[in-house]
Amino acid sequence: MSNEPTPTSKEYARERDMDAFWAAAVPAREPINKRWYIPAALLLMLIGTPWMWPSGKEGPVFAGLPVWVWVTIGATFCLSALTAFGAIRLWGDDDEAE
Amino acid sequence: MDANEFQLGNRALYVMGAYLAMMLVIGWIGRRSRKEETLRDFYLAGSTFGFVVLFLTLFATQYSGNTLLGFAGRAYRQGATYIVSVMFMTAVITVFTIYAPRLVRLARTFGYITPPDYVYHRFGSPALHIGAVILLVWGLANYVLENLVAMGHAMVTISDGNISFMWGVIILVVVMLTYETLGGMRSVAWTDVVQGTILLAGLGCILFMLLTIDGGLSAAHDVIAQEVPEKLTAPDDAGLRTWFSSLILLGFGVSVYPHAMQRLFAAKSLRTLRVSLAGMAFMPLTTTLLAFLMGYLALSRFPELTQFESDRVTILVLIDMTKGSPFTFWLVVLIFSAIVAAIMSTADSALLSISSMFTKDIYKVYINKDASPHHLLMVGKIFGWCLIAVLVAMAWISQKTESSIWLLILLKLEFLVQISPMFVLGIHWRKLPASAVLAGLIVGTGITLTIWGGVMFEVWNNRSPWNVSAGVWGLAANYAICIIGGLLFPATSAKLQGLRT
Repeated sequence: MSNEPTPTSKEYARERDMDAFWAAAVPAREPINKRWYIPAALLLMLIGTPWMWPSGKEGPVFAGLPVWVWVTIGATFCLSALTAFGAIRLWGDDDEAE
Repeated sequence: MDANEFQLGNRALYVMGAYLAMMLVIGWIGRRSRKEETLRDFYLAGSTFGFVVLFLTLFATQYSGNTLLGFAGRAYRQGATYIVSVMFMTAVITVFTIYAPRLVRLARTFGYITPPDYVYHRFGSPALHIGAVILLVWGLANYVLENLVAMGHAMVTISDGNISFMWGVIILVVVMLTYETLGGMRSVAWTDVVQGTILLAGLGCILFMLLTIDGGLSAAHDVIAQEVPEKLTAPDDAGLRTWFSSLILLGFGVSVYPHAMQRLFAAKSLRTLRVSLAGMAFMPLTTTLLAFLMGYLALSRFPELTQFESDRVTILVLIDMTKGSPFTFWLVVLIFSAIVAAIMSTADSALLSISSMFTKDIYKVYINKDASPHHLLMVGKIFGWCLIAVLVAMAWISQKTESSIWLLILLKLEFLVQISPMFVLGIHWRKLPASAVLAGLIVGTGITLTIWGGVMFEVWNNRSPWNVSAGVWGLAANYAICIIGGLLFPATSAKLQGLRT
């Protein structure tokens, strides 16, 4: 079952057919299927974490903020872009309703 | 600088009155637009949200009064290292993209109304189901409480002190409950559209003011470097542990907010949802970053505030910037409206979510199985009004103590984050048994409670051993138990089917 389910009008009433559960759970494409998706997200978080800067020092300054803060902002922007890419290009169903 | 010296005047109150009247009109329109009298229609608006409504309701719900007030206060106290807030709010959306593709398919196929519907369906354990409801309601009730406190502060400032803290809370709560009771999720989301738009406009004004008034960030940096240079330095080892702790706690905790999940359930189509989440991935770079910069700028203007005062740095900075300028006066009025909008849009969503879980997961299952939809909706509304009465009383009590808004957030998230393995692991790993998840939940919550309890009873004085939050210690144990339990005692095919059909 790969087609996008349309919203059902029923309300869940505690039935438990687990074959149906797992059959319905898996979409045609999801970001986690790409082996690089989670490592890339973790790498960007690591780059954005100021562990490589000497502690207790401000370091160079640009436009009113320490450069290490700009590095965090830049890495976060890349994480946003990766997440948006994951949502739009890596997640979907074959016959998705527009 | 004393905020009370500044007078916004009656014009600000007129703007606020017009805004509140608009909320009530939208609530009434929401009621007129209802399709049927069912839980699905009231709590999920019949899953009809298109891109504009879904994006703005996700945005207005995710970013609360706490973002603009609490986060700015924390940036003020912690300094430049609180830039981590921008990263953890982005990580929230990244975590969504890991589990939401499956959860949304399940919700659309089986008709989930609340996140605990998934918990029962996946694991078949009433104990786990109730445990999830308790943790979620606990977290959300605290969330509403912190927003009630923020409502009171905002109304005192907007009215120049003519409206007291408690009257401010009561006025906003009555308006909020009225439109919520009238139209449920439909009214809440439509008011979110207005509130989200005001919030975006207010943020644009904040950015303009931060960059242009009194020399902008560069001038602020020079003062901070002179007065409090330690707030500009890169973190040491302890600071890095705090950094990762915040990233884990907020990244996993905020991503399991039930009112956010219910908005995923309410999407009209998968495409609408995917595009909305893609947009949400960039919002921390506008909203959270601006809250951080407000705190940063405050360091240059008010370097010696107490912890309690620091929760109002956004208000203090705005008032300080607007002194004597008629143009910036209206900007500040707009921003204050944005703050109130952010507070209300989050509080109403959280309250609606609590009400849905009480009705669907407790009342209908354990108290009155044969209740009609009309009866269930009445129960949900009455429960919401009673709960808010208790929370308003607690907000009043909180005024008698110097409790920082940030402490309330921590209490909320450190427990709520313990349900994360059910969604992040449970939706991908078929062999994860209910028993391991329940054990992980009990141990994780127990560790968190023990560490907090030790501080409350003065056995020790540190809620974050080794600079790592109690909730993160609990979460680490929680995930470890789930993984070890799943490997040693994998759910068999019979157990996968569950005991009940």
